[in-house]
Amino acid sequence: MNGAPGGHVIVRGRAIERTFAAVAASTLGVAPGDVSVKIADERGVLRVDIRSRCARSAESVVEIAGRTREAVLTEGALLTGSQIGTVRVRITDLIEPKGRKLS
Amino acid sequence: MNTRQQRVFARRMIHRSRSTAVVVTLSVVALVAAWAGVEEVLRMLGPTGLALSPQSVVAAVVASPALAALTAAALAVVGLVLVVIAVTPGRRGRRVLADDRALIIADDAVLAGAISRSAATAARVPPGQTRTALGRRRADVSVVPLSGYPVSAEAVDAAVDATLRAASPTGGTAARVRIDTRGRIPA
Repeated sequence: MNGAPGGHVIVRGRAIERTFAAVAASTLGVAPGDVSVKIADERGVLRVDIRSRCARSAESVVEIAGRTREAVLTEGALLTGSQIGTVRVRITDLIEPKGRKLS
Repeated sequence: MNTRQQRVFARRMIHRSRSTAVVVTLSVVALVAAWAGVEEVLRMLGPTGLALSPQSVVAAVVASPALAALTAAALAVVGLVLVVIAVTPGRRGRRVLADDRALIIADDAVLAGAISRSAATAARVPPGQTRTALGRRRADVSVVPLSGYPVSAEAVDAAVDATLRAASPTGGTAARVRIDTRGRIPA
């Protein structure tokens, strides 16, 4: 009626979660399938909860988790075009880079 | 809408007909008048009238204060309803849409749906996440944004205004857009 072009593009929640999982996996040094991501609404922006194992490296786990958080906040937001409010990263296991658990 | 005939037709389509109320009221009045007339004629012809004459009914009502009060209250309610039907415009939730060549009358629900669709397009949300309550002079549009994707209230305002202007260039309906603070995750 107002001459606006029809149709709309919607990025589904599942796609956003998989994108964030891939971004987090690259920083954590694990496969994307090892990363569990849940998104929720936080007053109009996204709250991202990440649970994952982490591959051992020269950095501390806290540093890796911090980098993961930053990567999701920047790259994740860039890739999905979304605004992210909070990112929580929870490391559940520490593994060897090949994938074997340390303990 | 040019001709007088079209204006009359539009008015009939937009406003509720009072013919039902008129027919019912006049039928009741006619029945009561016929009842009283028959009773009067029977009285003139002989000593016996109807089994239930208007005079005996009135006398019975007057004799009992409770029945009198009940009857008065019922008549007052009926009278009030008739006055309301007579005085109020009786709009039917329809309006005339702008068109140079034809008379177009649409239900408010149709225009509300069009407003919701343009708001959804402007807000970039699925159509189910906009809602429009359309009154005679006001349109309240509410939008639930997608989480992580802020909605421009100005863009939605402009789209809604454009839809209303296209429907009725003379205006008269003001839009109020409300963007929910809470978003919804696209399933």
